[in-house]
Amino acid sequence: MITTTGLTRIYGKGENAVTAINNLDIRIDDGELVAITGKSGSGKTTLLNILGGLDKATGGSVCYDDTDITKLADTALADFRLNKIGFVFQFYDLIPELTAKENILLPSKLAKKGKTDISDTVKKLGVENLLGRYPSELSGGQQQRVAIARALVNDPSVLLCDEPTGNLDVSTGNDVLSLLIDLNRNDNRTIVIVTHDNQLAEKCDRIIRISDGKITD
Amino acid sequence: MTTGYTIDLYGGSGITVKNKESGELSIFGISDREFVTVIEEKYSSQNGDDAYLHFYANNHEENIADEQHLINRNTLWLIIMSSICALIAVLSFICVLNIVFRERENTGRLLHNIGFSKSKSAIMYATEAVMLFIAQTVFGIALGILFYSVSYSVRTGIMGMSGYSAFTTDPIVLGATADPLIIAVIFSAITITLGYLVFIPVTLSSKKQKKKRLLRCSDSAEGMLSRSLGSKGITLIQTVALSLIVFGTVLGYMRYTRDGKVVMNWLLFDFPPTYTIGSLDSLDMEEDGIADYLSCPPITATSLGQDEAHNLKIANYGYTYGLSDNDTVKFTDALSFGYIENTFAVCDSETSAYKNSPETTLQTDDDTIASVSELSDKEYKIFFGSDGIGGKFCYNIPIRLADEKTLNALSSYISGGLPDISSLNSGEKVIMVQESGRNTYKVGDSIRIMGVTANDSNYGIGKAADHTFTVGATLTLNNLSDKTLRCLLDFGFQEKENSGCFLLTTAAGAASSGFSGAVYNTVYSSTDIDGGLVPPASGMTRTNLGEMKKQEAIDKFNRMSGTLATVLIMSLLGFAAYFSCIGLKIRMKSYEISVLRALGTPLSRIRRKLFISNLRIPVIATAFAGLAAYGVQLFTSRMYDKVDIMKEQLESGIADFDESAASDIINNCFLNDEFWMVPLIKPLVIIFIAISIITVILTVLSTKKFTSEISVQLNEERKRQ
Repeated sequence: MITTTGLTRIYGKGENAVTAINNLDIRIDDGELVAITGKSGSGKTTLLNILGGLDKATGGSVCYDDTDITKLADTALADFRLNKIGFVFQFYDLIPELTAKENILLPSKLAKKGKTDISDTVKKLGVENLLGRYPSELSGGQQQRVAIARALVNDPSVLLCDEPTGNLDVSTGNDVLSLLIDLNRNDNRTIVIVTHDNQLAEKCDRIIRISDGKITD
Repeated sequence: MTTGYTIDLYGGSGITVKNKESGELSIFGISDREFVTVIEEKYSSQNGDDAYLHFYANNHEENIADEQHLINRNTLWLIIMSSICALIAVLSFICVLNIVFRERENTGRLLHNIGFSKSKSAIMYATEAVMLFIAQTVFGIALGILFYSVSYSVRTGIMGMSGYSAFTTDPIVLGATADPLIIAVIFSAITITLGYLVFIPVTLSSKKQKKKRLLRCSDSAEGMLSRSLGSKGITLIQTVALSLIVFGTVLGYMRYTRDGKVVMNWLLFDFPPTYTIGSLDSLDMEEDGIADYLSCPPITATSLGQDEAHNLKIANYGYTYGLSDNDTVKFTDALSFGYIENTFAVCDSETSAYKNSPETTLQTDDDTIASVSELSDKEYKIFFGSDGIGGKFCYNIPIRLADEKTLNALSSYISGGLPDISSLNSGEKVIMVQESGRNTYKVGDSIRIMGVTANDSNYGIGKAADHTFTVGATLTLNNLSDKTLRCLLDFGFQEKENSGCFLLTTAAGAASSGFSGAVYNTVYSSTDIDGGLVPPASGMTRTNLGEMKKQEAIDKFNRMSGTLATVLIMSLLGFAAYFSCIGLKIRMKSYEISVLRALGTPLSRIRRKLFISNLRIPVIATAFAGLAAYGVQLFTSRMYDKVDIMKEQLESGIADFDESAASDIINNCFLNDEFWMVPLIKPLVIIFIAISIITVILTVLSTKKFTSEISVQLNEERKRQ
């Protein structure tokens, strides 16, 4: 279960200060598929980044069960991210120097998990034939599938997705969304998706709408 | 040259002057008497006098050749160091260009996609290259001229060195160095062309360069991190550049250090510097507190007969040098001495004190007496007869001269007190200086002293002073550690053990007694002497400690300025080629670092990886440079052995000595200056530690920008991508 209490994020100081997240209290239960929507600049990506420990909150807390990640030091937070959270980014963010297989296996190797069997995952995601390719040799959809496989390799309980279909055509976007829904339904994995696409959001269990850093309903 | 011949062993290592008349061999500077003797014996026995003289013949061409050797050696050294610097500069430029063009890859593709043809892009880059060529050439030349002007001003203005301009038409300068402006232009053009030819084709490519497919994927996190954060091309350039920097620094160290250097024992040179003066180098200006030393040759005397030590000496005709009491009285902190060596005591009977000291007994053979009498002025033709010194007992007793201040300084050694100075100046009295235990004369004794001066034939007698002094005081030589006493003893006395005694008086006293050459010819001053107080006609040569030290500092600066300039250039180029690349490489990898952090890699682990990756470069570079330097040592060592074998062959008479071949090896391999068997572990470790520390510091500084706001950095890097 993820809970935020009084979560606030302010960028800049003094007159130039911009409040991206304003005193948010959110609760996301285990196994939930939640969409965070809002207009551009509403603060939804900032919220996701803070939930994933990629950004520091100015105030408030983010708790995964009993663990308040805002209080974790860099190394502990990195370890938490590595083992408990999977990230899927809009621009895939694969390491260009590594092959698809290496990109997928990277978190597992960083977590020192030894030999990891990724055959089922890559088959499920349809990238089993792309493993020897470099990211520059893959299409956007293929890269996103590889990115999802990478996010899943350490079997995290939470998957945080930032506009996962934002850079894909409609058909490929739907395929990726279907994959995420399957992961939620079949593995009971908590998935939080940031999107500005209402149709995509409608397919989720719950929608959190954000405007000016606040929940609107 | 009629009086002597010179030999210059191996192009400037030492000069030996051999007097043709006397056969006397004097060695100046760096040389080895034993080796000279070997050569003498070999050539004189095999080839006779002609070959002997031929070998020793001094000629101007040899001197010019030696000078040319020196210039060539220095030029060769400069060429080696400049080439290393130039290579580092090229690598530095290519390294920076590599990074610049990598950043441009996306722009190039974008331009291509919006319709910018490859030819247009090529023209754009070519124009840029030409502009850069002009800018860097002009800037580089301006910087060079500025650097030169400043160093020239320092050398001529501050250090007082003679001007030696690289922009003159001096044939030696022009012969030794090519036009720096032409070199600058050519070098700049080559660098630019090389750099752009390598990188423009990459940038013009419309597709991203495909990675070379690996046969085997990395199976460990470390391997993946290495590939994610590595940049092989830049690392290779960095390694080569740093190897050259370390190698250049070690070469500079090997050339300029004196630590542990093995010097050829027959090419010895005189370091560390000392400031010894006096006829026997018995005084050290620094240790003995002598700021200024004035000297001129004393009146010389010709020995009549074969045995120089025991014969009648005739003072040479026409001696006009030296200082009088009126001159030295103006030197406030000086001790002034003079020396008349041709004087002798005349006794009616054999004097027991000298009886067992044959060195001091005057001896002249009959043939010499006849010859001298023949050449003497009319009134001295019977000088050796019974009316002269014939039938008398004569003993060499030189007269030392000391001015009033000096005598006062010596007064504590004078038993019975210093006699009245006027009695010394008038020639009435004299001080008898005797070795401890030899009490020849006592106060009140009379001593008849004669001194003979040559006429213009230089072998006949033209003047004979004959004066009887009363011993006014005695001085016993029993404390040689005293500086004043050592100054007194410096000239001549120590050469002849058991010389027994000498007379001490003032120059005025000796002059009033009729002796020639009664002047002060050495002055030791504890403060600088005003040059205006020294009469030009006195022929005094000035040796000033301050000037010597200044000259030493200039010499040291000349030696070290090369090292300093090299280190400065190495550092500048090093920062450009190596250290700046550390930061740039990390900047280039910022995206990968941000992604890795987002995935859960702690920054500390990334830093550690970067440290290891960056520290590998100094390790490899130091190892390469050490090996290269060792190779240089091995080479010079073999050359040393080769020359040593030549010398041994010469000594054993197995083979002819190939002077030219030995000279070439010694000059071309820098064996003449010093032998490069310098222990390298210490400097290599110091260099390694220094560059490792800088590497670690720069790595830390370069990773400082990675904060806890990973998402912000990731967004920024995505935009750059």
